[in-house]
Amino acid sequence: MPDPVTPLGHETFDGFARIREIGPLGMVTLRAAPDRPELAAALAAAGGLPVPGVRRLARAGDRAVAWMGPDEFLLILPYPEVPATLAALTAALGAAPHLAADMSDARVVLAVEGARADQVLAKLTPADLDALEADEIRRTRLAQVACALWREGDGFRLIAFRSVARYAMDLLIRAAQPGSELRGARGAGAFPASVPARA
Amino acid sequence: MWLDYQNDVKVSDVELAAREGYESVEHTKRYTTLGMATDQGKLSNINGLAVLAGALAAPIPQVGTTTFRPPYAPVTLGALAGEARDEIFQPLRTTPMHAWHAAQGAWFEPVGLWRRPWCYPRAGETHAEAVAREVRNTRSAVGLLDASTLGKILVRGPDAGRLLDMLYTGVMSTLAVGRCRYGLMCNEQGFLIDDGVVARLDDQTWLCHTTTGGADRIHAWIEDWLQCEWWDWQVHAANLTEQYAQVAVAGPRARALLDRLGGLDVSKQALPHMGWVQGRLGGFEVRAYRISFSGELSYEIAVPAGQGMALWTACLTAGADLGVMPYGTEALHVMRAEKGYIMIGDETDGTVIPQDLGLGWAVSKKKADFLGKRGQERAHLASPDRWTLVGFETLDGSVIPDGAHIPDAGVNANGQRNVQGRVTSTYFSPTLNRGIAMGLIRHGARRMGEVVAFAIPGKPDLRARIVSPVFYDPEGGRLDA
Repeated sequence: MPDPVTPLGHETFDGFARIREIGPLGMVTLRAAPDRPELAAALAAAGGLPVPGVRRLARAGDRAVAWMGPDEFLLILPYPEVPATLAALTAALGAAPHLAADMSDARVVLAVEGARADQVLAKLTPADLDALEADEIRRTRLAQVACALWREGDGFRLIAFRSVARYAMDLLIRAAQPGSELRGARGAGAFPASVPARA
Repeated sequence: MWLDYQNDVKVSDVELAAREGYESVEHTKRYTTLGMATDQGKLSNINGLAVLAGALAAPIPQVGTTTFRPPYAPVTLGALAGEARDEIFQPLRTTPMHAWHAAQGAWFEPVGLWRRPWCYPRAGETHAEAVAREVRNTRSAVGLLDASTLGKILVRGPDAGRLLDMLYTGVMSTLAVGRCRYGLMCNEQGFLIDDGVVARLDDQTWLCHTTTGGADRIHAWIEDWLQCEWWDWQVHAANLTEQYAQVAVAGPRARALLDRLGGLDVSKQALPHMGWVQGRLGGFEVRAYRISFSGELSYEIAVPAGQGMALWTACLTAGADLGVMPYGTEALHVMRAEKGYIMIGDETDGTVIPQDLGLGWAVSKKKADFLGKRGQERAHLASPDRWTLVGFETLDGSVIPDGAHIPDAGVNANGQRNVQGRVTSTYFSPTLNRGIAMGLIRHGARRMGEVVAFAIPGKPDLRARIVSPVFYDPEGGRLDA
């Protein structure tokens, strides 16, 4: 099999934050009832992962599992390990009703990094980034397309559908243009306090 | 005297508010809509407050001010438009092979937010010439279509067959593993909303192909039924559309091309029409579906999206001396019309049921229930007088204009000319070298051979004969090769 090609050829952009396309990243969509014991066993078998709480992203080594909905989870793992992990999940889930599917090629994976990474995303998503905790995932939107994002290192990881990879990258490039930083420092709120809420 | 030019509030309105007892300025605002337009009172409020103060015989400061909100302070048009301009005005969806299409000079058409190649014109070629060449080449040699945009919804669980038997008008639960079946979806009213080929992957798993525009809508439709009505059924659905790139390899030399890639037995015995196999083809892990929308021997090859461009290139290389050429969506549309295959959105418009289109064979008479069954039993939908699908062959070989209506004798209650039918698809057929069309007309199937006229300004003499909508290879020998 030829090596997988990522949608943006690992394009990068250095603005007031750094934007990088990373990947390929292994992603497995798993749907199963959260209270089935087979689910916990399957996630444990897939690299020692727990059943994540609502809107949580649980990490174990180079793997993670994210809560995507009441009966939907996203496993994040090294790309080459997807087939073996799918087999382990399917075996452990056994007769428990479930759906497990490789979605590694269905998305673009972007890193937004640097001290002002939150300002880039604040221009594009309605999610409250100040409230986003270290082990939290948000399914939200990036301008006009669906995305999910979580904290990683000194910035964020962001996933969106592959077909809109170009659009997502162009959005981030525009939002990270030098000189377009938002006033106010990180932590003090990205938006200036001088604009009264009720002028 | 006008006070608020945006909301048409007059001085007398404010004075009336004061007389009616709306003494608080906030109440006057809501009673009159003073200052509630997009200027938030910038043009009118000071005068309005003064009028109210006058009416109440109070000093202006005592009357107070109302709350005003953005954009009272100026906001740039840029702030309102946000990022939505130039290349990122709207998200455009592209397939893994898009850059290749663009480099070939493909002419793109929007399909939802997708951009799909309509045709691949060569130097000096008009678009119509390019389409004709692509059709002839696919019919005589082999063509490649980027079919990646087609929806792919995975449905799995002990109740998956039961769910699909409700969603489709036909029976999907009995589909054998390794086989494909064409299916129709209707809404509760009985009208067609989508179609596509379903493949049975294993005992508990089906893969449902949808139209390009239908993928998100049908996925949401399935989730709606599962979450709101059949929440206790043990079945899950996932939209895998973007996980796969899919290449249609169609034409009499399609098998020869795949044999050159090698590794997968795609013979008629190993992979008959409406079957699928999984395996290694030319070094790719693929799923190969033997399905045809062109009427030719045809395979659709699915690989993970990250391999799509490599598969496309491998097919072009392997087929170079077989005469392989890409074909676009217009050639696809022409070829499907030559075969009499319907297109959701052309032959359907939200008022059409499968039976209108001669697709009654795909509607189960045995199933106790499915979405649309009761709707289709309503008197108007079960009427023998409905407009049904036919083909039209112009007497002079010309192409009927799109959307042409077929008038009937007499006028309706509004004095308008009665109508008995309309054209739903119309093309120049390079295969038959004449105009062909499909359409809906009252008592269609009973009127074969009849000649009808159209209401087209400037073309009073245009006539067409009603014929079968299957213009090409009605026996189906070519796709079953």
